[in-house]
This record gives sequence, C-alpha cells and structure tokens, in this order.
Amino acid sequence: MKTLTSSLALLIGLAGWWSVVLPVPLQAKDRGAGGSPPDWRRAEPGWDYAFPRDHHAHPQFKTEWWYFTGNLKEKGTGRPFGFQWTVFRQGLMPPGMEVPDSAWLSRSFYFGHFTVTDLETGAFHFDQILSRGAFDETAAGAPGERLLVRIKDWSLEGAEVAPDFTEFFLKATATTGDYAVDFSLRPGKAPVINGVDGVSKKSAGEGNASHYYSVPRLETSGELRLGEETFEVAGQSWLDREWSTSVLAENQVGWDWLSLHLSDGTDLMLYRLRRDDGTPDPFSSGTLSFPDGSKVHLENRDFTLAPGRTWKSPATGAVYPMEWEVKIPAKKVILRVAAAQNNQELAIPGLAYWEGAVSVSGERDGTPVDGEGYLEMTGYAQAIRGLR
Amino acid sequence: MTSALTLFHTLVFRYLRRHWLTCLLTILSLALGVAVYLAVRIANHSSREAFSAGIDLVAGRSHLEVRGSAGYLDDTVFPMVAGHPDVAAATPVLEGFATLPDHPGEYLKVTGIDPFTNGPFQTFQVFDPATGEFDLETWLGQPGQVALSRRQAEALELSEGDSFRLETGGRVSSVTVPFWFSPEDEGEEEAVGKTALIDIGWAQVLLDQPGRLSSIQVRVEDPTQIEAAAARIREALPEGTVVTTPSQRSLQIQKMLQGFELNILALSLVAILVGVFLIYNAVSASVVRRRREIGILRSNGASRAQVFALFLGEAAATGVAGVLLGLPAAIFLAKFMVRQISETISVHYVLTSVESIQVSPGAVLVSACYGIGAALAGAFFPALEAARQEPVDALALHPVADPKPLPIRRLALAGMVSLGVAAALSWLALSSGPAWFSLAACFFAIMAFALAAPGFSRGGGFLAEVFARALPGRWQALVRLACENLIRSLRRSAVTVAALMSAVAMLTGVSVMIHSFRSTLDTWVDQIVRADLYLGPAANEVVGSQVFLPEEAEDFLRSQPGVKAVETYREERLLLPDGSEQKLAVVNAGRMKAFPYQSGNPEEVSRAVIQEDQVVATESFARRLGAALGDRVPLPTAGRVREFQIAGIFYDYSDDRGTLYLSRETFAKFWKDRRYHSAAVFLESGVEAEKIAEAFRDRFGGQGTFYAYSNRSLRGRIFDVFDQTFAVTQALRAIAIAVAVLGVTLSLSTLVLERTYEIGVLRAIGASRAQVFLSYLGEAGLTGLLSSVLGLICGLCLAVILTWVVNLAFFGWTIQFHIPWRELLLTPGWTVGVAILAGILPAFHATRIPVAEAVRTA
Repeated sequence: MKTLTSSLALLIGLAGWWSVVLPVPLQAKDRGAGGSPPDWRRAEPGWDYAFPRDHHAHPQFKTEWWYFTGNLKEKGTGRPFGFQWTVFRQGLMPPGMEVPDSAWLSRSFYFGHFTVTDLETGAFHFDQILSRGAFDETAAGAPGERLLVRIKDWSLEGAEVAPDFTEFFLKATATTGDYAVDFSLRPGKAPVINGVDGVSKKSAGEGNASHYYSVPRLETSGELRLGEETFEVAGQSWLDREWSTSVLAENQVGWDWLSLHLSDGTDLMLYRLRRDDGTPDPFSSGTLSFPDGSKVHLENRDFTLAPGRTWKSPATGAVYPMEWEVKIPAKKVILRVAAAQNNQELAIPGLAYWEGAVSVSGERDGTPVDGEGYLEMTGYAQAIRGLR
Repeated sequence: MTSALTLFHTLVFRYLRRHWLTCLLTILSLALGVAVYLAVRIANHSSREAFSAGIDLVAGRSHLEVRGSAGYLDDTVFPMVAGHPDVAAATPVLEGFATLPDHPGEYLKVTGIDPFTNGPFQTFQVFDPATGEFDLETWLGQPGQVALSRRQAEALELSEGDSFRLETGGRVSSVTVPFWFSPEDEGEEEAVGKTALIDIGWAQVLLDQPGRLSSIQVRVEDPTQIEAAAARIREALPEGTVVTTPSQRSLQIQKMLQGFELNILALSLVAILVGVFLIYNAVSASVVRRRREIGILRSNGASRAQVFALFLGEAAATGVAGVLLGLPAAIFLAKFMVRQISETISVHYVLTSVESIQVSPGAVLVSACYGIGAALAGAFFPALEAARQEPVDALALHPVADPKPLPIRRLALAGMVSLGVAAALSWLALSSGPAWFSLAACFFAIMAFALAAPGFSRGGGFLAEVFARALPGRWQALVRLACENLIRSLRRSAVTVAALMSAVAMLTGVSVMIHSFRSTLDTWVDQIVRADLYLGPAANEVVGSQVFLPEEAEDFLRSQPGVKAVETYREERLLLPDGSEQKLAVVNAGRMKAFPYQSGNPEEVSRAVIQEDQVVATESFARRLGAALGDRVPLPTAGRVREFQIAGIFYDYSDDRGTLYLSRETFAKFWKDRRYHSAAVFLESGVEAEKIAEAFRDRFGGQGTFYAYSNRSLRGRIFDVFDQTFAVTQALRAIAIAVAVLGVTLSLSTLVLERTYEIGVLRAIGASRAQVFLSYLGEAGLTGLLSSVLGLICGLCLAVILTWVVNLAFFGWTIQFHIPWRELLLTPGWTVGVAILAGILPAFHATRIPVAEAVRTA
C-alpha cells in the first residue's frame, strides 16, 4: 500500500521549477484531453500472479512501485541501521498510444526515494531521484531479463530463477554521493498476495484497487556506506510490489502502514486509510502471514490501530504518532509499535511523509513476541491528493 | 540665503511671469529636445529588452550555452554535457517559430523545455490557471500541450484547455493550452508575450526536429572559472559545437544593433543641440530686457558672480521645467516610436516584438541631465555678458547693440579647424574605426559652419545691401535698414542663422543621403530583382527564412509552359566558434553572374563558385571583417570547419552584417542539404506571372500557404521596407525644423527689444508702422535666406559624410551620391517663407512700441 505518495513524490524535484506540486486526479485525466479512450488497464479480481514475471514492470497499468524497507545490523558490532529503497513508475502514455520518436519521450517516467537511518547517531538521510527516461537513464526489464528496474545507478536485479528469483541485487548511491548501498536479498518466504481474489481494494468504485503482493522476509547482506565509512551489514528486509491505475477516493487524505517481522516467524502488513473527517476508511486492510506459508486477510473490522505518543517535526511542523497499539482480537494479537527514533521524516516540501524503522513487542496467542519493521505515515503534513 | 532666494524669486519669477510666452516657448523647445532624446533611448532600450527577455526566459540563469554551428545541436550531445565533471546542471532547449493560421500575421516562438532539468535555470512558473497547480502528466503524456503567458492567451482569446492551430514548417498542428506561464519578473510578462512553452520532447515532434536541440543551457560547478570550464567542455564535445556565455549572445545582438541605435540617437541629440541655441536666444533676450535691473542690482552692491548666478539659475529653472514636461512627453512619444523601431529591427536584424516600453531610471537621469545641461550651456555666454555689464553702461540711456564686435576671423578660423577635424574623423572612421567617429565628423561639420555663420552673415548682409541699392528709393531704405540691422547685431543674428542653418543642413544632409540611397537601391534592385515571379512559404514573411518550399517545387515550376528558368534561394545562419552568426545565401551559380561586383570579374566568379571552395562576399562582409578578394574564410560545414575562398565581392544593401553567397552545388556538397526557401521564376514574354502562381498554389496548396510576388510587387516591397527604415529619421528632422523656427521667433523678439530706442527714433522721424513691420520681416527673411544658403552648403558636406562615411563605416554600404536638385532648390524658398512667418509676431511687436516712451526710456 505504501506509496500512494508516489505521484506526489515525483513533484518534489520539480517543486523549484513549477508552481505546484500536486497532480490533478488521475481518473479525471484518463477521461481527459483529446477524447482518446482511457486504455489503462484497471486492477480487477482474478489476477493470476506468476513469478518472476510479476516482479517485472506492468506498463499496461498506470502506476507501480518496487518498495524495499529493512532493519539491518553491522556484522560484529551489531550497530543498527534502517533503510528504504523505492522506485516508482508513473505511466504517461497508455498502451494504445504510440510513443513518438524522441529521446525525451517515453511511455513512463520513474523516480525513487532512498533513506538510511543511522540508529546509533540518530542521523536520518533521505534522497530522491527523478528521471524522464531520456537517453536510457531509466529502464525496466521485461520478463525473462534479470533487470527489474533502474534509474541511473539505482538498480534492482533478480537472479537464479528456480522457480522464482532466489536472489535480488539492489544498489543505489544518493544523488549527493553521500551514502550508498549494495545489497543482496534472498527471499526467505514465498510472495504473499494481499487483498482478496488478487486485488487490494482501496476505495469504492470498480477498479479503484491495486494488485499487491509482499515478499516479507528477505535475508539481506551487503555493504552500506555513510560518507567515508563502509559497514558490512545483514538483516531482514521487506519488499512490497503494487500496481494499479486508479486508487484513492476524494475523501481519503492519508494512511498509516506497517510491515512487521515478528520473532515467532509471523509477518504482519497492515494499513489504515484515513478520511478527511479523521475516521478510518472501511477499505483499510492487512495480511497476517505465517512461517508455513499460510496467511490471513484482515478487513477493517478485524483490527484496531491506536496512536500513542506523538512527535512534532521541526522541519514541517507535522505531528506524527511515534507509538501505535495494534490489536487483532480474532487472532489474539496485541502489539506495541514504537519508532526506533523520531527523526525519520522525508521532509519534502509539499509532500512530506514519515517512513522509518520501528521496534515491536507484545503477544500473539498469549505468547510474548517482539520484532522489527517499518512504519509509513502520510497525509500528516498535507493532504495526499495524488492517485485518486 | 533667504535674501538670495527672495531676490531670485523677485527678479526671476516676476520676469518669467511677465514674459510667459518667451518662457513657454523656451520650455517647450527644451521639453521637445528632452522628449525626443529620451523617447529614442526608451524605444531602443525596449526593443533590446524585448529581445533579451526572450533569451532570459531560458538562459537567464545559465553560465554557458552550448549550441551547434549549423544552428541546431544533435540531442545526443546532451548526456555528454550533463555528465561533464565541470557541469553542475544542464537543460536542453529547442526553439522554433510558428505562425497562427487563424491569426494572420501573428507568430509564436515555440520553446521546448525540460522540467526535469530546468529547475536551476527557472525564471518562470507554469501552472493550470484554474487550479494554480501544474500537472506533469498532461505536460509529458500528451502531444501539443503548451503554456502561454496570460496576456498572450487573452490576446488570442483562448481560455484554459482551448485548442488552436499552429503552422510550423508548412505543417498545421492543433495544440492545447492547459497551462499558463508567468515570468518571475512580472515586468517581463509582456516582453516574453509571444512565447509558447512546451515539453522538449513534444517540441521535437511539433517542430518536426527529431533528435535536435537549439541549445543546452549549462550551470558550471565553479562559477568563478566559467571561461576555463567552457574550454574544457568544448574539448569534450564533437566538432561543430559552440560553447559560449549567454552574455556573448546578448553582446552579439547588442553589437548588431549598435550602429542602428547610435544613428537614431545621434539624430535625437540634434534636437537637444537646437535647444541650446534656443536657450541662448531666450537668455540673451532676458539679459537685454533687464539691462536696467542689472544696472540697479550692480549699483546696489550685487557682485558679478551673483548676477551670473541669477541668469544661470533662471536657465536652470527653465531647464527643470523643460525636463519635467519632456519626461512624460517622452513616454508618450516612445510608444509611437517603439513600434517603428522594432519593426525596423525585425526587418533587418532579428525578429523582435515589443509589446511594452521599458523606462530605465538611468536613461531618465541622463535625459534630465542633458536637458538641464543644455539649458546651462545655452545660458552661459549671455549670463557672462550680463555679469560683465558695468553698472554705468547698464544704466546708460542708449545701449550699444553690439558693444564688442564678434571676433569674426577667429571664429571663422575655428570653423576651418573644425572642418579639418571632421575630415580627419571621417578618414579615421573609414580606415581604422570606430564607426561612431563618422557621427562625430557630422557634428564637427555642423560646428564648422555654425562658427562660420557670423562671417557669412556679415558678408551676406553687405552683399544684400549692395543689391538693395539697385532698388527704388522707398524700398531701398527699408531693405538696407534690415541689412544694416542684421550686420550690427551679429552677436544675436549669427546665432539664429547658425541654429536655422543647422536645421536646414540636417534636413539637406539626410534628404540627400536618403535620395542617394534610394537611387542606388533602385539601380541595384534592377540588377538583383530580375525574375518575373517570386514564390515562398508565407510563414517566412512573418518569421524570417524558417520554412522550406516543397522539394518538388523547382521541377514543377520548370515544367510549366512559359517558364524560361527557375532559380532558388536559401538562407542559412551559421554559428561561428566565437559565438557570432554568419549569414549564408545559397543561390544558383548562374545568378551570381548578374551581381554588381566591386571586385572580381562576373564571368570568372560564376565559373569559380561551382568549384567546391569558392564563395562570393557582400561589401558589408568584406568591410566588417576587412576581407579582400582571395582571402579564405573558415566556415563550419556539416562535419568539420572548412576554409572557403572569396572569389568576388559585390555591392549589396540587403543587410549590414554581411552575407556570403554559395552556389547550390557547393552547399549541397558540404552541408548535404538541397532544400531552399524561395524560388524565382523567369517567364517567356507574354506569360502572366499570376497564372504560374495559381498553378503553383493548386499543386502545393495542401502543403501550406505561399506568397507570390511579381517583379513589380517585390520591388514595391523592397522600397516599403526602405521607407519604413527611414520613417523615424523623417520624423526627427521635422522636429529639428520646428525647433529652429521657434528660434527665429525668439531671436527676433530679442532684437526688437534691444532696438526699442531705435525703433522709437525711426518712428519719430516719420517711419510708418507698416515700414517698421516690413523692415523686421525683411530681416527675418534675410536671416532665412542666409541660413538656407549656408545650410545647403553645410548640408551637402553633411550628405557626403552621411553617404560615403557613415553608411560605409556602420553598414558597409557604398552609396552613389545623387543630389535631389529640385528639392534642394526649393529649400531657400520655404526657409525664407518659414523665417518670415516666424518673424511676423516680433515684427508686429515692433510696430506696437509707443514712440514717446521708447525714445525716453532707453
């Protein structure tokens, strides 16, 4: 669910240039200029997930992303780090439209976010990359290729197909050159399909949904560089893949999203859509997946998500909950989620959101559990108006 | 201090109140001078601003600009530039012109930009006028989504989301306006009016320029080392790419317009110069009128310095009033002038559209200084004269009209020296430059004749008196009195003669120059415009040579019955490594045979130009670069820079920057391009040009709109352009004349005052009012006659400088000297007439002088 931020995000880089930052609703645009029929495909029930095919791009859909988050430690010292690596694809010309012969025009454009949380020093690094894809600055591999997606030197590849990729390779260097990662990620679990019948509904109306799967456990190892220092790190990461054409409703202003690795091998993905009147949207949902590969879909009524202590961002003035209490009564799950540190906001003008490492403790089925994960909170600094 | 102010108030303002007409005339003439000068400055400045605003919109914040010598850049160069270690930011730009089929005569400059890289260069905002937001997906995802300025959208009556038609390169496309843009500097909105912004990729599609850019704007890592970075970047790029600073481009434009601007500025300065004469007259008048006041003041202990300051102060007050009146008038005048000037610039130099006038505080300040400075300069000598008056003399009953005779010989000698300086400056302007020396030469020539005015007036006066002796008795006395009067008051009348003479000279000089130019052009057009029919894309008339004719056009025309021959013409602008532009013209080799050569044999030249490395240069080119027959000129061809040899130099008046003519064969060989912008068709006798034009339109009408000129209508157009170019000049000289006429009135009024006593005596001994009236009219007429004769001589001198020096130095055009005899012979007639008219009022005043009082007072 994470990144409905997407279309907003891309505007950051442009914020200096253009007056504003928020695109008009996508659906409106599909009906829009030139009278050409909307020929983006919509997310409809019955999608037949196949891997590694679905790791690759889906250009018949308007929007998609590859979203990695992870909790890592330096080998030997145990120094803790968090990271986020995301690439978004935003479709410009639908499949029925011919892309003219110009190096500057492409069917999609790409942008990415890359953060590293240095939990020992409390430093939080964030960066954004943008490209219109001119001169092969961006690429998305087709099924059968190793390359999944690339923007300049931010790249994601898969390797050793049997039957799915057994390893991902993820690289990025911040555009400032200040920090970089070079990771290998091995799935410890098969992809978990979120939602019902292959779709994750986001709001009322046919097609207002996405195709959404997660790879909750990725054994991650590799190098993380901060300035001049390079750390050998290892830990657990989470991959979210989602593609869609239209998603949010007018009255949805933001969301809170969690991905948690629990010590008993259970993984939880949960999101709560917030409406402009402050109430949770009925289309909020989640997935609880177990070490044996089984999973449970959670509807809005199945869980509660209660905010606790808050933190006010000095950069944007937004007030974010730094603690959450998650209750899934039917599954006897009570979890207390706390930010690993406050300062993990991507303070991007017009589009700030909080995305950071969290620690978790609580109990499941009466047994104490703890764990780590990532939390995303959007729409606190300003209403999220993209992707409607 | 207070007492000084009171004194100033009592003496000056009371006087000004009493002589409000003289005062008003002086103020008006000064205001006129200031207004004309400032208006010209504003108009020049505005047209230049309009041009640079267009550049600034995309290049306002860049350190360097990468462009291609062929006028475009392969876009694969972009990654090389963007990835260069010296480059902090780079953004591509593609520009082209489009006409609007639904708004004939209108054009838009289509500017392709890239929002992803443009951030650091941004000087404008793009937004959806309904929401104030910007939607990137519309911008990137759909063809023909443009941003116009609000002003332009309104001018074209387009609301948000409306579509309209654009014609580019002969193709009509529909574009939509979902966006407006507004420059950060709001004052520039009007200046960038005719711009349509569009995404760089869609600009390539719209302008049909796949893979091409106009420029890449660059910000370097170390802005203190721009030149060094430019050199390193140049090194890393393929041959044929040019790296310059945007200011170099502005500088090129400035250089190009410099001559033109300086010319009209010089003309406007004449208006101020004439103002100086006027002030001289007015202050002289006031000195004369207040002779007694001065005497009393001095007797009561006022120092010479105080008297001097009093008169200068009065002049300064007049100057301030003139400036205050002139400044708003200038803005009013500039609005008319700016259109003229921008049209002239568009015709001859670069496509500019000036939508508004820009008033720079600097220009206002300079004009104000000129106005007040002119007032002080004009007042200096009369004020000195006032200060020198002894109290005794001032209070004496009979003033001596000319207390000290003018040093006529010394002045004449100074005049000779001045003429010598003019000659020397002319020679320098032609041999080594700078070109503005030629304008200085004009100034010294006028100075020379102005200095000769006293001697000439005295000689003329004596001569007239000699002739007058042949007249019958009653008239003889009158005319001789007029002559005597003039000779006796040379100190005043010579200045009037000088002023009117300058105006006549200006008029004569410019008329002769324009006449010579027109005659020369006429002969030249006969040699150049020989075909019976000229065809080309209509868009080129609006935006310059941008659109090519369909490739089959030549063969089609040739196949038409009655067509003897078809020649083609192409214009190209190459970018030289130093960032300057060179215009190329590509024509059939045979056509070069008919060129009017300055050096080179037509037969040989037309044979030579088929050889691969021969070109023909225009005279302007040869002059500007000091090139001679046989010299080699390096030109960037497709691929690499090659040297071409000048096989001939010919007279050309089509532009002042110089053009190189290549044969089609040569151009096709090195630039791999056979397209052309227009075709000239030669017909058998009896074949109607209109028929061929119709056939052409039937065949190619689907591929755009085309103009067709018959031989006659093309000539007409050439002369229209010519007349348009000189329209401003005409207006300015009319103003100079008007100011000079004011001078005659003022100066005669002064004389009448000075001679109150004499007139009284004359009347007392029996002269009738009519006789007095006539004698003053006679003096005015004589002044006019002397001025016109001297003015004609001076004017011919000036014409020689304007024609042979200024034109050659600034534009590199040799113009044959032609004198419009009839016009010149009429000059004394109207000058005398105008002078007599100007004399009516003062002469009438003379008749109104009460005899008894006049004889008693003075």
